[in-house]
Amino acid sequence: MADQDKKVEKPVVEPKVDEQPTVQEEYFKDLLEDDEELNELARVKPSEEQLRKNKDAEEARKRREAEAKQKKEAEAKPQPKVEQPAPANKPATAEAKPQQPAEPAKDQKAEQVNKLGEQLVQFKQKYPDIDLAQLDGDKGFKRFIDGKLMGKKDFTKLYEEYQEFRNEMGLQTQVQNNQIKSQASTGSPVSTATTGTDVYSEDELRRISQKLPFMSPKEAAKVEGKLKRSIQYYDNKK
Amino acid sequence: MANTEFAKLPELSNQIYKEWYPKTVLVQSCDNSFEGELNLQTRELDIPVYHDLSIYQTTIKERELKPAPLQFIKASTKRVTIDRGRYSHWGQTSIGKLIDRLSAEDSEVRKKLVNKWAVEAEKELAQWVAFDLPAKHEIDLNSANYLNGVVNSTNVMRALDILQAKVIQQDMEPTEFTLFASEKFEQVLRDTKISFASQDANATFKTGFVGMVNGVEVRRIHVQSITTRDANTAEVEAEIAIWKTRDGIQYVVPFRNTVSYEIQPNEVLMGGMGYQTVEYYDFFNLYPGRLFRVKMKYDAAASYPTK
Repeated sequence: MADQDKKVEKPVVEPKVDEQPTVQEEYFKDLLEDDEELNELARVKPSEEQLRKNKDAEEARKRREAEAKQKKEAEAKPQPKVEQPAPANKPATAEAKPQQPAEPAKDQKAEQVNKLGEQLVQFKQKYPDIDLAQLDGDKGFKRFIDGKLMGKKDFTKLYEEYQEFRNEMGLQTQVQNNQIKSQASTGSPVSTATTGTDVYSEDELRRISQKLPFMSPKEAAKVEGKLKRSIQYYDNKK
Repeated sequence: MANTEFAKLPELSNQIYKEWYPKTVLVQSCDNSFEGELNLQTRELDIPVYHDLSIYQTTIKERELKPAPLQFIKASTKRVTIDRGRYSHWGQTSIGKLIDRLSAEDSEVRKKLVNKWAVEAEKELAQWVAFDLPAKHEIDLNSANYLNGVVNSTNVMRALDILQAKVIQQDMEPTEFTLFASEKFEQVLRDTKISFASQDANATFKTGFVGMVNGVEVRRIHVQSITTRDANTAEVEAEIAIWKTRDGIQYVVPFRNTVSYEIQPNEVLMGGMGYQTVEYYDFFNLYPGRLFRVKMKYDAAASYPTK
């Protein structure tokens, strides 16, 4: 009963959504600052990289053409050297070069931040019990998402794939470990509907237990591992 | 969640089944794949029935290829009514303790139970084949029609040839068959001093695997009731071996559960409170066409085991 009381106390999702921008911003900042590789990925997405290369090449080509034209004109109509000194021309174009793509890059980055922010909001809605800070500390997860984030893949999907991968390997994520530990020791408020993919919800457990006596050995073998984990989980929760 | 006993009870039966089944030799050699769910009210279950698929002939001339009558595999089921179950039960003063003790990783009680169930199931199946199979599925190797004498190291290869020939005679493939015999038959084989080839690496790890001898896979079974033993040395003098395919017998376990209930202290001696029943409904579905019993004597004076 004490567990149930705690469950009631658990904050509903909506207030969390209000707080989320700061958490997400921090998380996103962490992701960007902590992980240099991710930073680099934020700047150079394979498809964007190609785009940028093409753009740069196009600009360089245009610049060369313009320079050649200017040179031709200068040769044809000699102008006073003071107005447009040839050496000064180079730094001027060099300065212009970073300025031109800088704004689209900024926009892109802002767009990516917004996109990731949205993804994190969705993630929080789907997994209100997962602490983003803890997830950020999960080295395995960070390695897993390396190169896949920043608009390429949905964050929630990445997390689910990661969990699936860990489950297939028979491992628990650091976050799951922490969750189980905290639930076992303090009986932290966890909704029965969101116990993750590793254990059955109470309803599922009840349904499968009723069906187990009738299952063929093959069917039983499929559910057995998770069933045992679930029993242990709810026993510890008591 | 207040109590997980509702989940632990069926899980316990499942666990025990998983542990005793691999300990069997004969039972494990039966086809245990089945679909369908037992109706607990009527105790009825539909099980798939094996049947022979027909091969049709046609010429390769154009327009002569007509579709043969379709054979619906799914429709080939048989409705069986379960009329018996088997169970083990015992009591303890506290129900909770009992289930925990049985579910524990190294539970000695469960180990004991597992061994007993394996022995019982082997015995039941072996007796069915040895004593209840129609006489036309019997090969009496000692009779004048076959070896005309006891089985020994000089004629055991011929005995294996005969078994294979009987199968070929009925348009079946001998490699599908396995011979299940006692340790005495293994001893006779070893006396021949030939080496036993192993068909594949996995076969070696099958329970009771003796070897591939003269193209026949031989496995050892220990079922006392289908052997006759010497009164002093307890060595096997005669036995009824089993020569079968995997689909020769279906082993179906449509229900396995554990039930716990309370009983009044005055109902049992010493006033037990908790009772537990591990129960199974299971049955063997025999296909005699793919199954033979093989009578063998190692001592001419010995008599065959009887029911």
